[in-house]
Amino acid sequence: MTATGAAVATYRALQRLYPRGFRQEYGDDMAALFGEQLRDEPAWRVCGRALVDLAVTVPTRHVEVHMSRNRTPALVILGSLALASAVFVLVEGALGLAMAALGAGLGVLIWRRDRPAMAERGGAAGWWKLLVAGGVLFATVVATTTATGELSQRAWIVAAAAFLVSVVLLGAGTVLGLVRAADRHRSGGVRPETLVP
Amino acid sequence: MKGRLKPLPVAALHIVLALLEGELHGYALMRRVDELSNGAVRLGPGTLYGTINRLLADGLIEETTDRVARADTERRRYYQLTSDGRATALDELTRLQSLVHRVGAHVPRGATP
Repeated sequence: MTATGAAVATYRALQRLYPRGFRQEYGDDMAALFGEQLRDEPAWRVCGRALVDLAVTVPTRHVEVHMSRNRTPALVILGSLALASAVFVLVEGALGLAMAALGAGLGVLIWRRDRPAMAERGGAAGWWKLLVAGGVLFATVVATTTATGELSQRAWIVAAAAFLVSVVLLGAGTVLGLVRAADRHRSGGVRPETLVP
Repeated sequence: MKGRLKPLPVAALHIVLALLEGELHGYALMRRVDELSNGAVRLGPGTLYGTINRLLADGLIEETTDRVARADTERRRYYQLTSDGRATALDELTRLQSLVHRVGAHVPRGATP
């Protein structure tokens, strides 16, 4: 391996310090640019500048990513679950369940509204997984409680929690599915994630 | 971007000014910035692509790689100003010219190099 090749390989290894999304998007271009700099300027100068550049930009990129991920899907789902539980406790019955599903749906909408431009698009692609998981959990809870008949207080709490989770999953999956269908309609049938540059 | 009140950061400013002449790929952009600033602003790969990423997100530049036929072996990505980016670059240019003009009017004669 030539000295230039070794320097580029080292630079590529150091690129792992950047957030993954940034590295995947620009890593090849950055390495190519570094190689071109090595071709045109003394190696010591290029390497020194690259090290300073890494020291400054690696933390910056991480801060940017951190700032842009103030609401992750998991956080929103958990928040929705907490909201749904509170609603269910306060308003039992069908109205409580409807409000819990609404809370989950609102959580998903808030996440989609606030996600940044660099955030991974196509996050709604997993809508069917939420629906399947919610459906399976719902069916399991119903089947188990029907089969066992009278439940102890502890079992009732577990069943109610599982039931709530299934409702939240079904609500979130439904909203994500609708949003995804709207995205596809707007983009003329092209999957939204294929529009990412 | 309409309504931008704050001046662009140094790297972003030099990149939009460099792109006023037309589309450029990463390395050419870096060289052009170096040239425009007379060597005062030297962008490293992380700074260059971090700033490009930000300008793309802000809608001031766009990638044009696939819009123009290029040599088969060429795998570079090209960037150009959007209409908002061009307006911003021209606003910045006006702001800088105005700054130079105002400062020049208040500096005593013989104080400038």
